[in-house]
Amino acid sequence: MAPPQVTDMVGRLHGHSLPAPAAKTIPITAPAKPAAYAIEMENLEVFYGKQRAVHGVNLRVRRNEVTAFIGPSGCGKTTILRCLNRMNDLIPHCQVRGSIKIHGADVYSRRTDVMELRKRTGMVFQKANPFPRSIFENVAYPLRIHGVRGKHVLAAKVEQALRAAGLWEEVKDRLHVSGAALSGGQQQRLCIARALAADPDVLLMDEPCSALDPIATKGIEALINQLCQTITIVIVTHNMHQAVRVAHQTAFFYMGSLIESGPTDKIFNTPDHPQTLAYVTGQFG
Amino acid sequence: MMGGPEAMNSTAPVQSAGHFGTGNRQNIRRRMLDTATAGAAWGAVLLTLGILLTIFVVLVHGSWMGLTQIGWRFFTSQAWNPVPGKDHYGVLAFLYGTGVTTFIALLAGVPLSIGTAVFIVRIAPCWMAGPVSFLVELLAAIPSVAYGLWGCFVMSPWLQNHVEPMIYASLHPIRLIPVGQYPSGQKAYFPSNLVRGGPSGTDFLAGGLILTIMILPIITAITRDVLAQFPAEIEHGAYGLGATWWQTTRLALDYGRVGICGAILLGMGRAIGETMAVIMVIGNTDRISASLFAGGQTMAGVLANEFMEADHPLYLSAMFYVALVLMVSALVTNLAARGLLSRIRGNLTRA
Repeated sequence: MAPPQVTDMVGRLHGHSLPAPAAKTIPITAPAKPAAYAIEMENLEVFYGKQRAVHGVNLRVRRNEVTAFIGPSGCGKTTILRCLNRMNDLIPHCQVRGSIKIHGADVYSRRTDVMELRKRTGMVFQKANPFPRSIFENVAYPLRIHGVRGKHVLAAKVEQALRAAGLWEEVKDRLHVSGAALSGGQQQRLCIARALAADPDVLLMDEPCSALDPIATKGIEALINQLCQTITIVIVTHNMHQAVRVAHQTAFFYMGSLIESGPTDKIFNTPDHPQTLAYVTGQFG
Repeated sequence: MMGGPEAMNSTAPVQSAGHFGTGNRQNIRRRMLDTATAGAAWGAVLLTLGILLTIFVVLVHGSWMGLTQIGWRFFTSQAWNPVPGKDHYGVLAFLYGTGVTTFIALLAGVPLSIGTAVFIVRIAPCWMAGPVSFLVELLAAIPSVAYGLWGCFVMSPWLQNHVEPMIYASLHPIRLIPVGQYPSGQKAYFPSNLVRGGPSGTDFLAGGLILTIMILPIITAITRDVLAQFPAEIEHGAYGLGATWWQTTRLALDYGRVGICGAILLGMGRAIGETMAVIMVIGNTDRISASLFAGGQTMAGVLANEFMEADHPLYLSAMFYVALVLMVSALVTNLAARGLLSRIRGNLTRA
């Protein structure tokens, strides 16, 4: 499974940074997947106290694709990401208006079970945050808190999640050592495995590679390419090259507004908006 | 120091060009001040260490007669009979008193303290966390004897008239497990034996409860600091997986478990050594009884009660022996606590 993934990634990388082989990569960037949307935001506004951080965003995220949120610091991309699984509930005075639907279900409805929402909407953070427990217990944590019991069930699910995160071969002999003993890239893949163990439909990644070296980053990106075959991924990134390498769709935010969104190669090569062009060509940000 | 500037003026021209003069009297004086103050600091430190060593040596020396004449029997006997000629000394009753009161204090104090710390760190809004924290720490500022007075005149009567009758009524009829015989030949049952004798107000329960209040501040303060160090990334990681508030709090308690154990041990150290408040409510009898409503005595208590009466050498030596046992148990507890707490500090600096 692994080699074609890498070629995919490299192929797509070249496709976007060099004009010539672009035509060859189009089938990869626009695969034949059902054109349903996993996430639909309508007129989304976020306030911190009286300050408006996000201005009326309308955006739809395609199912089983990778969507990158790009934009300069403070543009609201992380805020929006954290609205999707209601992590912003934890911030006092944070108020969300408008609507977000994930697979048709209203996230901010009064009847939403936030614990269930977060279980089905996995999140990977900027800094790898393994719990102070063993590798096994890290991955088993979401299962345990959601009431999964039984040694064999847990062991099977943990193995499945670690395999999905591409970490199984590296850790299968030391499942009972502390998660903190792994390297940075392995820790981040452990956190991905932990999110996958809860069997989410959507994976939210908040700059997952910003603290990693290039080789570990490559590993995570290959993993993203593989995972998007079965789940929808939204990735916030500061690194435009990363967006080009991993994302099918890209959304560009500036000063709390969605400036432009569309297929990644369009955003990076022929954007409609001059601000997008200025950002992707490195004139600011 | 008044003559400072003139001294400098008069000596400055004396310095010859080409080297840094050694004859500057002002500098000599400054150097002497260095030597003197550093010497004084050394002296202070040696004196302090000397006092510590002296106390230990004096305790061992003072208890030498007891150590040689009573030896290990000290720990197996519960009789404490200081009548000259037929005197007999055993620390067991006091060891038991210290153990039981400390146990009660921890049993009641640990959940209270940890609950308070969880409230301060993870529930209370900012405007409340500070004052609550401050008030709990204020408990540590109340003098021991004030606790004793309150315990003696307020808590004990309240226990005797309201709390203990209730406990007595509910536990006395329950005879689950036979646990031997009383000296009278009557059979003893658990948990009925815990309330034998009926409400008294001055008993192990009162001693344990007064200690509970006294160890609250230290356990709460340290647990609060440990919980405050729970990293936000891990907290968000747990919430992000759909953990509830309590599940995340459990993770925080788990994360800080070493520090919390250290806090509990420090509280235990305080409970072991606490004297005044306990002797004012515990009843002061040298008996071992399973009953929470029986009077007892602690090691610290017997020293405070009888130090004036130790009028013959073996009695005095037995008192020193008690002090030695008390000091060693407090020392071991405190060292263990310090070990645990320094371990988490090490973890924190590495992270």
